[in-house]
Amino acid sequence: MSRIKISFVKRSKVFIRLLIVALCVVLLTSLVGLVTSYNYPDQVVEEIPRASISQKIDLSYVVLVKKSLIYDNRTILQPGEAIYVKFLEGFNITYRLALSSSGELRRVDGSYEVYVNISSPVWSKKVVISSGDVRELLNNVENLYVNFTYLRDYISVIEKEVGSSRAYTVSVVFNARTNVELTNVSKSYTITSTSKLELYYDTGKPLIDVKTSTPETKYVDSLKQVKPTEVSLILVSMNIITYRLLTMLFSITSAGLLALTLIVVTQGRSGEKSPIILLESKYRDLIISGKLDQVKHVVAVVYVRDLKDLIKVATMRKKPIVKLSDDKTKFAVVDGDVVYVYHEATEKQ
Amino acid sequence: MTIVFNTRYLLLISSLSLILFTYFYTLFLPQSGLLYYAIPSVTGLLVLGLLYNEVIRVKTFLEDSLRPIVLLFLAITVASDVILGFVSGFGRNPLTLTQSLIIFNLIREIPRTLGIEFFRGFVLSSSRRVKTSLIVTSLLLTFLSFTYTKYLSLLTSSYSTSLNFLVRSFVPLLLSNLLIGYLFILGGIKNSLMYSMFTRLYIYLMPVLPNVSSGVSAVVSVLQVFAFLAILSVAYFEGDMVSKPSRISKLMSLGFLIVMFAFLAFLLAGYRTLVVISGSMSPFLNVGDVAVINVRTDPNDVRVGDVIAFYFSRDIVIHRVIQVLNTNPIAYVTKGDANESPDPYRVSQSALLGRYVFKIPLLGYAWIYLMQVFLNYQNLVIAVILVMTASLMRKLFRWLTYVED
Repeated sequence: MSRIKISFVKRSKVFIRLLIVALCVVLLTSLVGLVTSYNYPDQVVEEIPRASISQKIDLSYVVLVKKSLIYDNRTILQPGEAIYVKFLEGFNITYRLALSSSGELRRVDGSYEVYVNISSPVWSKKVVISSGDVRELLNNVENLYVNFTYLRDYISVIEKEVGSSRAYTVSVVFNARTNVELTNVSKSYTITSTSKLELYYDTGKPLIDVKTSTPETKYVDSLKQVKPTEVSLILVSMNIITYRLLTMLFSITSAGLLALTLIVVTQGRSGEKSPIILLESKYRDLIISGKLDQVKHVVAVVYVRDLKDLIKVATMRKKPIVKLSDDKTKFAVVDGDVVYVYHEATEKQ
Repeated sequence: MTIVFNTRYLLLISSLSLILFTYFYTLFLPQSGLLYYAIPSVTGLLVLGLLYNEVIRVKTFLEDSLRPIVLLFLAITVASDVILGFVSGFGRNPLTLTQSLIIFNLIREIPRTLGIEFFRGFVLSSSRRVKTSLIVTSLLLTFLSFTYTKYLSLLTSSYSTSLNFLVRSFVPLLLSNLLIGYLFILGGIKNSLMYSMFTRLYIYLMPVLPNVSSGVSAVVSVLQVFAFLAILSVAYFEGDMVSKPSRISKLMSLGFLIVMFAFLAFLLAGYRTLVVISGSMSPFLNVGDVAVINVRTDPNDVRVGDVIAFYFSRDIVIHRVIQVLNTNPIAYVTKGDANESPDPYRVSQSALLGRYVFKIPLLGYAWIYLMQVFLNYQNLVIAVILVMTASLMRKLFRWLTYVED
């Protein structure tokens, strides 16, 4: 790993400081951007309505009773009034199919059925009263008369066959199953509705309970649309996934550039001294300065490759190291007739 | 009062803070998503930037000569995986399933490894107590290799879970970190980084890896570290005056080798040793006895009254034959001497391991005790290698100190 030398180190300190600050700002901004992006979902699922259809069978009724003092000799009761079994003759029910849609109807067909269901804890019996095409009911008011006297006789006949009960429920049920097509949607929808009029009749009680239920059936056909979360960054709108990827790349790149800048800037600053200077200061007790004159009776001159080796020799032989005053990078140890020499310049070659 | 901050202390604190931030950021930031890749790479690069010049200038006397040895280590690592793969089969590496996964992992791991290695190098080159620094740095970096949730889960884990984690995960990584640190001390950042980067990226780039259990993988890993240190020892330490073994250690080594060869010859001659762990054959065989079994027993030679060893489920049972059924193939009715009734099964010829030869009383207690502590032989092997590695490292340090002096 050779030293990285880039010419910008020669530039002004202000420039380098500005560069470091700018890289730190980019790094922090991109990291904060990356972290905060996880507070938002990757995508949002939206439901866009395509068609909505609602259907309802409207019911209303009046109660026909015998003349009596309790009813002030009236023969027709309105919903909500108390009905005494003793005076009850029947119900006059009016019903109508109401269909509405978000768009124009292209085709409507289907079937309807009206039936009476008589049930007791012991038995139950279903009697279909009418059925046909739903178009007959569509926006037309129809009438149905339920003869209570006839119903009681009918119940008596069945009870003779299967055994008597104390309480009965008589339900008049209106069912409609409608197939609908709209002009703006190439799809067929089937919608089913049920309305009821229910009588609770207990032979031990003088009154009859009547309840109606006319729920509206709604069908909403919608398209699920996945919308990726968008982020605006300096007038550029982008997908949040792309944004995260970009902020990650920005943060890593800026961290890399910051590292590079720090490496270049601190290259010559860390009080770096050559190993020779460091060794000199460490072993200053062993080193003396001087001039090496002609040494007589020299048998050998050993050129050591490293100053450490020379220090080793000096330590082992207990001799001082002579730092030659004429060449500051030349060191020698004189050990009798052998001279050990270290020369930095020679070593570098 | 004046507070003087040394630059090196500031660098140490900054880089350590960045490394600790990488470890603990999941406490206050989301763990998932790209942050998993971005934060370690950013902190790794920043640590690199802070410490590069401090570490790169560290010169070691074995810098160039160590490089071929490190390359040899890497070759051994690959070769051992190839051999293991041929023995136990290869499996698809889940880290290399998609190209994007590989790229993202490299984006994370390369800067992270650079940061960690320069941090290690900085600590080791700054401290005067190299040995202590190496141990502390290796422990710290090993500790940081596992999530804090892992350590928290150990608080409520069983003994076996904790021991398996310690022996099969923590110790191999610790030894690996010690080796990398030692490589830095000997050969500088180039060598330690080369080894560390290779071993790190190897996991993220190899499409297939040997399909071995965690125990085998851990044994191989610690053996590799021991072998690498032994190679270093042979390469640099041989012939040095401090390396000369004492007479006692020479005798111990010789004794160990003799025992090992004798045991090997014993195994090759067809004998196996089994440690008795139940009293069903008492008083003939007691708990703690080592029973020697001849596995070359001919099933037709087994007679009533013989004590045989046979496989039953996943265990080996040693019981006495009380009846030989002359069916085809031969089967035996067996009974433990201390049991009141015969065994409720017939021992088939194929389940026979061998006939009992002799016993060594009480010797098996050591094994029973060791198995209670280490749970299985793999953990025991790892522990033994750990001790041997520690001893080797101690010698290497003595040598290093001698050379440096």
